[in-house]
Amino acid sequence: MGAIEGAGDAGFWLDFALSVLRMATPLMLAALGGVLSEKAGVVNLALEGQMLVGAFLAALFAHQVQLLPALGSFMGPAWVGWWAGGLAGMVLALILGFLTITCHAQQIVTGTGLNMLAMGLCPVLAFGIYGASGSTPSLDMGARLTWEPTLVALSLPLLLAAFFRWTKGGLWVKVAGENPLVLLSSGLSPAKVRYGAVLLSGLFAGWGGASLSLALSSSYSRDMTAGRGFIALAAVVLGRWHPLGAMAACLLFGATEAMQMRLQATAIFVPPALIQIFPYGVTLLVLALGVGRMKPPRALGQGLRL
Amino acid sequence: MEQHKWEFIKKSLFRASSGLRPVAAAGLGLVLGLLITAALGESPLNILKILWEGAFGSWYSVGMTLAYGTPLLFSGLAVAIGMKAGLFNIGAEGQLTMGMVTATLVALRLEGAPPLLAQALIVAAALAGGAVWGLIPALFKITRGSHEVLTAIMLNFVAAGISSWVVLDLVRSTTTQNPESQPIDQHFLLKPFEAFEGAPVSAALVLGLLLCVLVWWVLKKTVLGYQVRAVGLGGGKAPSVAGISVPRMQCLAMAVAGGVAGLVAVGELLGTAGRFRLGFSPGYGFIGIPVALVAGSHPLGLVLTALLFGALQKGTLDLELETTTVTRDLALVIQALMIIAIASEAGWSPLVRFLRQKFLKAKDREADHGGH
Amino acid sequence: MTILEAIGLSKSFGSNRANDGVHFKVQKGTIHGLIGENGAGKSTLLKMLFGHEKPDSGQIQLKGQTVQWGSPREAFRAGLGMVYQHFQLVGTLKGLDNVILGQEPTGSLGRFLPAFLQPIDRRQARTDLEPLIRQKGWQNIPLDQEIEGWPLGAWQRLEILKLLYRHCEILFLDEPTAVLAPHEIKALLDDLVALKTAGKTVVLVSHKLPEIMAVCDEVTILRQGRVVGREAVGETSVQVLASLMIGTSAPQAPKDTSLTAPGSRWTQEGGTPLLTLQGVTLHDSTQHLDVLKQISLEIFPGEILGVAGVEGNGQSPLVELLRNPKAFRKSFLRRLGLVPHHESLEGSSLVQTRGEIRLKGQSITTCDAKTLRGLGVGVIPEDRCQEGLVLEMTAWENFILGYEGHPDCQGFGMTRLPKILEAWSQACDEFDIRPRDPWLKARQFSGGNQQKIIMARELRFGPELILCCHPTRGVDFAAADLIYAQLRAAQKRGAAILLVSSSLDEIFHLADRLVVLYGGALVGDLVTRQTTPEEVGYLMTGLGHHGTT
Repeated sequence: MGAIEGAGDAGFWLDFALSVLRMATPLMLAALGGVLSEKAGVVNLALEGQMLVGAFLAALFAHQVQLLPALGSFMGPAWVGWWAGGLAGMVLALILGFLTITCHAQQIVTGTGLNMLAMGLCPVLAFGIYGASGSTPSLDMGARLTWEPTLVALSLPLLLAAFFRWTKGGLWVKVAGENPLVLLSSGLSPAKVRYGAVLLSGLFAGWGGASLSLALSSSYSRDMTAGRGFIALAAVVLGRWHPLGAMAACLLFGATEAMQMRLQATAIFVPPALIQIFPYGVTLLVLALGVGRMKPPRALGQGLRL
Repeated sequence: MEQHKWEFIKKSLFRASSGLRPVAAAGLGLVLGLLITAALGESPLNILKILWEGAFGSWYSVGMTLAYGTPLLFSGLAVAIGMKAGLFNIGAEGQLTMGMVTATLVALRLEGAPPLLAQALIVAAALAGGAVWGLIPALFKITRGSHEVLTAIMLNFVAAGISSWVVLDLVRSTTTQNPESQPIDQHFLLKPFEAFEGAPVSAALVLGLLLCVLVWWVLKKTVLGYQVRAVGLGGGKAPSVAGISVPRMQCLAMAVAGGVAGLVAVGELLGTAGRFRLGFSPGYGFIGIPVALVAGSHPLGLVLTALLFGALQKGTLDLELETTTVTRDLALVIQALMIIAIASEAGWSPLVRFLRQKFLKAKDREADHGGH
Repeated sequence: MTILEAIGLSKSFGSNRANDGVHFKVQKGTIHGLIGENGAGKSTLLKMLFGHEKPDSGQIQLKGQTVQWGSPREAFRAGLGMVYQHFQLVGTLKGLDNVILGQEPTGSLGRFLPAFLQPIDRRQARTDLEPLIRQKGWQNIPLDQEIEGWPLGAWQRLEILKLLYRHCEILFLDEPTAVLAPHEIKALLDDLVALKTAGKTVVLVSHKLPEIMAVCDEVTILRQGRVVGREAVGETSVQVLASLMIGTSAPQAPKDTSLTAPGSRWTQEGGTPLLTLQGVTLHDSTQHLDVLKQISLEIFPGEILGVAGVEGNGQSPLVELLRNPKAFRKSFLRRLGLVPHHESLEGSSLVQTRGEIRLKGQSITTCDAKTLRGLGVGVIPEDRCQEGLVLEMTAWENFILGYEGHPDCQGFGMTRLPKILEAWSQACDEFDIRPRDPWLKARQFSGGNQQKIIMARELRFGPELILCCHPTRGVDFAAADLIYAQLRAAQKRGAAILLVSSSLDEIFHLADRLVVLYGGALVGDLVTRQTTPEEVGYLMTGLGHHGTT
């Protein structure tokens, strides 16, 4: 570590910790969405797509509002973008929910389709609206979000853990993922519970995307999620379907990403590919060794043909 | 007698329509995609025309369509084989990447070897690399119970990481700045067919077509194929009661699927590029999913859909050049819509069944009247 | 006072009259038994009482008022509760959460939040539950632990608690003792009596007569969709109930229930048995009980051995073990913990802990399904759609399932389609399979024809041993006759047949010898000609078990 400039210095570590948090923010938001929907028994393979539309629409709205100061005075452009991103993720989640819960489509195939849809639609729309660059214009430095998404990402796991631990909804979601029939025989509707979980999951993933285009950078650019939705999915598994576990996994993955950037600036050579593999490698290794109980919710991936 | 005939017609109609359902879904996807372009202010007819011209306008265009279709033939087949065994092979992308890695490494070692031998070894390497990568999710599923999709997604990323490490750090090209490997021996390259005016259509296409026929034959005519299909179609315990080892069949199918995906390397390494260009695949493995879905996982139907998707790929490239608002990503949108339409078939098929029953009943009544 | 009454309820499914003018009356504060064989119409009646199905005719009266359920939820609200055979509990949740699900109490502050965000007031729930638990004197209730791994008796108590917590007045229990260990059964019956003294009404659905006799006040007997009797327990006897239930004259204790069946032709002739089981014990490792206990039996060539017993007494595990013994070994991978329980394909959590299985004198304890097929074992499974056929495959493909490697079906690894189709059309003649189109999917055949496809397949290569389960279930008379004739023909050829059936008529019609399973143990080994359905019914319902033997 001595070779890294300034290591040992308190400022360096603070800096490093902050960049870990920044890197982990989109992952945490998406992973929490993943935890919520998987707990309810729906595999949200479309996290990646939800993040991407979230990132795109957040940047789009923030930029458009910035052009119209009258609108912006009501709410900062970045915040308009933040909510737009969340809603965009929710819309995609609504499609997923409709197809898998109401139409009994296979969750995984549908999720794959929605991912491809987002990956295709965002560039098409960006190109149609902003022309050849295919990315949105930069937001003003002052208009960007800075620490706010991170705060949301750090508080959400706690809220979600509390939700599962103490509230009625949390109990229902857990039952929907374990055995939806039990919900039905207790006079509740499994479909409603699953819809709720999937929609919120889309909201969180959309926010994850928004944090990419509003805080981590100043604009949307093509394929900017770069597989983060899938890393989030890995974090859900590694975190054993628990909000705090997923958060820890995301922090670990965020740290590797931050480390990668630090290392590039130094003389130590670690192939970047190795660091790129790390999140997946760790998750596969943990799955292979079966450390602890890796039990997914029992009705995960099953439709509601009751 | 009349009644009997009508029964027969009804039955064959029924059978044909169940086969056509994915095709109808695919059509729906295409229409929705065109609507999006209309929303962007382009005339859908014009778009269709450009797509057609781009894909089939000249021999060169046809050649390019075939060239784009070739890798889809392999990746679509890889997805379809998985489906036949009841597994969703989302890992074709990783499998073809690993096939490319092993093929490239072997090809670079073989510098100066007799071309035919070298080509055979390269094909074997591609097969092996992909097969290993396909086998891993199956093993995870059998021993640990983890879902094959989850592990395959992660393996896709691991493969991407390994490939960039191999290409950038082990065998990086010394002559160009591009992220690509050293070129392989020129003598190994397959010659493009001359009919296509320089489009890179090589023997890889023939290999792909032969493979489709071979897979069809194995699945349809052999005991092994029978057992794989029984495992894939048997939701209950019937295959294992009958003494067919379900885990073994799943492993086998995934290994073969991975190997077939790995053969994408043949077209790329020996046909088109002669080297490993990072990012050569625009997601062939993922496009393989709609290719297989639209074909209903039928290895021969797959030939058609792979070429169709190749045409879509080529046509949308021209769209990007000829229109101001539409990019090649439209292809992805259309493919995605096709997947969604097919996946949600269960949702809208009750409606279709209802309509069909109404239709058939009306016909029945007519037939009855005719009889009296 | 009559609390619940069904008046002339009828329900048909297609041509099958599942319930035919059923009158069912329950007095308040009593334990009422509802008995009948499988398919007697018990579950249809329950479904109508609970609003899952609408009756075709007739009405339901609750406390003297006619009710019509729009949904199961309404029945639930009106105070009808049911403990299902498959528990409606979630293993990964704590007992308390399982009990209060859907009726969670919330604090005063929570009322202002939307329902799903309201905090659960678990302390309140506990104070609500405590008197109920104390009243019952229950101790081992896993309220604060995950209930996974707890004995099923504890699960059942949670289910009952769940109903009490919801102030259900009438509690239905569907086959509650089927999954319980003996000491748990006793505890359950005590609980039911306690419920009665607390003023609740209990309906016990069962076909185990000793239990019914032990706790019930009144019994209603269903047979073939009709009420064939309504008896006060104090004024009737087990024999009468059993005869009504099975539809014979009163059962009697057999004169001789020794397990050697001394009159048997085969033991007298001193032939060598084809299949021998010696002290075979199957242990269920999740529920910690033996589902087969020290089973020893022999089957001789040319013999049909009936396995009688009320369903769920070990018949299914017995057949599953015999058709694939290897799946019940603790395999290498499983021993390393590498195969999770839910993933092992057959046998699930069952392990053979003791005993030896021999086929023609050779041990097959470690053989798998494929090897057994090679040794000439044919299987006609219990569930033809799940275990016998791949419904999405064509008829001819199903016709060779399990025999696809036989030289008649393949050559050089290729299926010999012409030959198979020829054999198929022969089978169609022989078994009268309709339609004869080999390209139709198995799904498109009627139940009887599906069964005939399975029969044709399994008998085609002249198996030496046939494991045959419920061969005529859901099959019409003509098809049943044909199936009987084919089984007889196979017997004549020298095959040994293990016939598991829930229908005593069938066993008496076919079998030369029969064994009776009760609670996983062999409680009788009789020669059919020397016994009567009454005697067998006596053993089946557990009377012999608690009686002199």
